[in-house]
Amino acid sequence: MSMIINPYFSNLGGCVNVQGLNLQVGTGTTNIFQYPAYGLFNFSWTSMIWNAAEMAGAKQITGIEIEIGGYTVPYTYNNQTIKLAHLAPATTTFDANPAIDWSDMPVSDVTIVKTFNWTISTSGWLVINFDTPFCYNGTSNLILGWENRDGSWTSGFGSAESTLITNKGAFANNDPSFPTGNGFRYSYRMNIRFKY
Amino acid sequence: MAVDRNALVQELEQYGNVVFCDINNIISYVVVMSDWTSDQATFEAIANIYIIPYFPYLYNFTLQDGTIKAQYNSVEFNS
Repeated sequence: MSMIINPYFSNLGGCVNVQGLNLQVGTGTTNIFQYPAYGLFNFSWTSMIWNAAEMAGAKQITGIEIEIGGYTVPYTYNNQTIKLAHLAPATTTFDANPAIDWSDMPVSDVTIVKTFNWTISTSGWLVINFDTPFCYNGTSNLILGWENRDGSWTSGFGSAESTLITNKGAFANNDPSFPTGNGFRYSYRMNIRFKY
Repeated sequence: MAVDRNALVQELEQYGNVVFCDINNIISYVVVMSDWTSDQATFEAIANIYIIPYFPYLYNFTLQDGTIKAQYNSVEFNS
């Protein structure tokens, strides 16, 4: 008996891992400056929700691509953190005053997938490969949080191409410290490609 | 035609310190002020004269502890 090992398909901890594919959600052309980080402020937070149906099954998410434009390059955001988590299927949108710490959301498996200094060097779809992949279960909704803890602002900031979709986005901005408490619900979500 | 930055700065400096006042990118103009001694209405009255003709849409405005951060855009979108 022999076993064929396909390097492009494996099962890691019960999470289907098919390497080299991506799932794009969103094709809108609205420039949202708050996403994923707002360069006008020293600190900012954004969060977005994707329904299970949009995620099209379980997958090992190894990174994302987001559609960025309008930056004077190179432009660097220091101290960035991206988190992913499962969100209970019944919760598909943010409430009117979304909690920045997700304390009002039924989340599980909260995972810091990336901590980095992000230098934007061009426009278009930019790849962010995760330090820690996220095993998406295929049945929950998916929630992403992006914390911008740069601590300073500079001009030349741009925006993320985004799509109108009711109450699936949230943001908060603050000086001189990272925002706490509640942010603002938003009916835009940045276009994204999930790498898996 | 473009924003008369020198005249704008001169007006703004009556009420605080201009930290930044310029084009941010192709569609946005940004003003950052510190030690602002007046209110939002005063700022907007000045902006209406100098910025609005070229960047008609107020995208973001905050006034916190005397610091103003304002972004005006040349294109509108629905939020």
